[in-house]
Amino acid sequence: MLRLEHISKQFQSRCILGDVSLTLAKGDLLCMTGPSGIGKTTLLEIAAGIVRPDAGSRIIRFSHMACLLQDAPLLPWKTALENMDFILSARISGEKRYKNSLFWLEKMGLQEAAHKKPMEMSGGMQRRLAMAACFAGEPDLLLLDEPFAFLDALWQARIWEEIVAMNQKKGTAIFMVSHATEQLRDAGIRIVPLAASPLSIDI
Amino acid sequence: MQGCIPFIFSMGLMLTFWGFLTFFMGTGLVPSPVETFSCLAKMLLGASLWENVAISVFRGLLAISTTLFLALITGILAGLSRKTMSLITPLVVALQATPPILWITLLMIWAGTGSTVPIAVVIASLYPPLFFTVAQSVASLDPRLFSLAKIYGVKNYRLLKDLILPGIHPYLLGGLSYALGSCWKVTAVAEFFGSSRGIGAGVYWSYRMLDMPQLFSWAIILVGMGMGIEFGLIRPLRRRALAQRGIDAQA
Ligand SMILES: Nc1ncnc2c1ncn2[C@@H]1O[C@H](COP(=O)(O)OP(=O)(O)O)[C@@H](O)[C@H]1O
Ligand SMILES: [Mg+2]
Repeated sequence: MLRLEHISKQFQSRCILGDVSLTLAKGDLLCMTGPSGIGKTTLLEIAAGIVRPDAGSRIIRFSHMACLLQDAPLLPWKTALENMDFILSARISGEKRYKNSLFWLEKMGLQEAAHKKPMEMSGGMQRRLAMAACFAGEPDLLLLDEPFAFLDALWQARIWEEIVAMNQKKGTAIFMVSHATEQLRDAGIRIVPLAASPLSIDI
Repeated sequence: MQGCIPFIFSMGLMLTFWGFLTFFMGTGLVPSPVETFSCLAKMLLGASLWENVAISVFRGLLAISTTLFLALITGILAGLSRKTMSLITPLVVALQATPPILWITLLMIWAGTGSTVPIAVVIASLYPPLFFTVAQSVASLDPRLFSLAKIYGVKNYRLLKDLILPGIHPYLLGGLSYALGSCWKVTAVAEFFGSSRGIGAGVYWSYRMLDMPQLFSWAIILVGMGMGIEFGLIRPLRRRALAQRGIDAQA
């Protein structure tokens, strides 16, 4: 379970998050959408525990969190496989880490790029590598910031399939934010539109 | 062969200038190149020159590796934490502002004239620039990579091996090449004043004896080794650093 209670956050005395509370339990799939600049990334990074809110509390009972950050940072001097090995080093051990990494690189269409460095990959490939690292970590909580950015329609659909499969088969709790969610409208998932700034949510 | 031409040209120019100096100032003040090189040949055959060179090189290497070790540890800690950085910066700046001659004087009083003076003086004068190189390059690493590592609970050892060290590598090479260049000169100065052995001490004794051919021979050895370090070590290091920075910058 992840619980954010009465979170608020300002940047340079501009209030981005007013009073946000939300709960995410095992098996939940929550998607927030809204125009850019409204505070989606800020909220997700507070949920991930890498940005400190000004006030409010964060309670987390999940033990294996994975996170796709907005600009999907990667080690520029390491290959795709080495990047995954680095990210997953404390999560899964030795042989299994290698197998999982290869498996997900292949699923993300990166088998040819396993030994390439990020600068030799396109923006879409870098995003897919970051996604592969998220999936390979076998998370019980998955946080995704703009998972469809830089991807063509085919890959958007495939990644959406994997997200849903992970959520339904393994019960992985998923919290994603995206400014474009047209393709999800008919999937029958909970989409929370964000409009007013500063954000005030209680779900 | 092509690469030798500038070298031969420069040396020829220098020897001509040297010849003129000998002619106008007399062999008592400026020994002729022939006299100097025959003295140098004699020294090269003896054991004392090699002993002094070995001592200086050993001191230089020991000092520079100690400095590197200290600068890495403290620089990484400071680069990772703004608070540590701001706390320690005035101290390091004070160290940087202290002229070597002050260290030499103090250390001669405290530690006598052994290896301590040259080694400690090199550490004191090379630590500040290396510290700032390390700290600033660590601080300039992408903070999002640290966030990612935090989310996935990546261990400190992997953080050091895969993120911090490769990230600062090109800047460290640049800083190290600078340190190598001045290490050599600072060692010689410290030995001149504060040690009875080593190349700097050799210069000192030639001065005391007013043995001009010997003094000029030491000069040739110092300049020659300095050039060897510059062309053999510093320039290749710097070229690698630049190439590496280019690769990372494209990423
Ligand atoms: N580190 C920061 N410093 C200053 N302002 C920030 C920072 N991060 C985000 N902001 C501001 O907060 C607002 C919300 O940003 P963000 O959460 O990235 O929005 P979204 O992801 O919805 O596009 C933006 O106006 C942005 O300029
Ligand atoms: Mg965003």
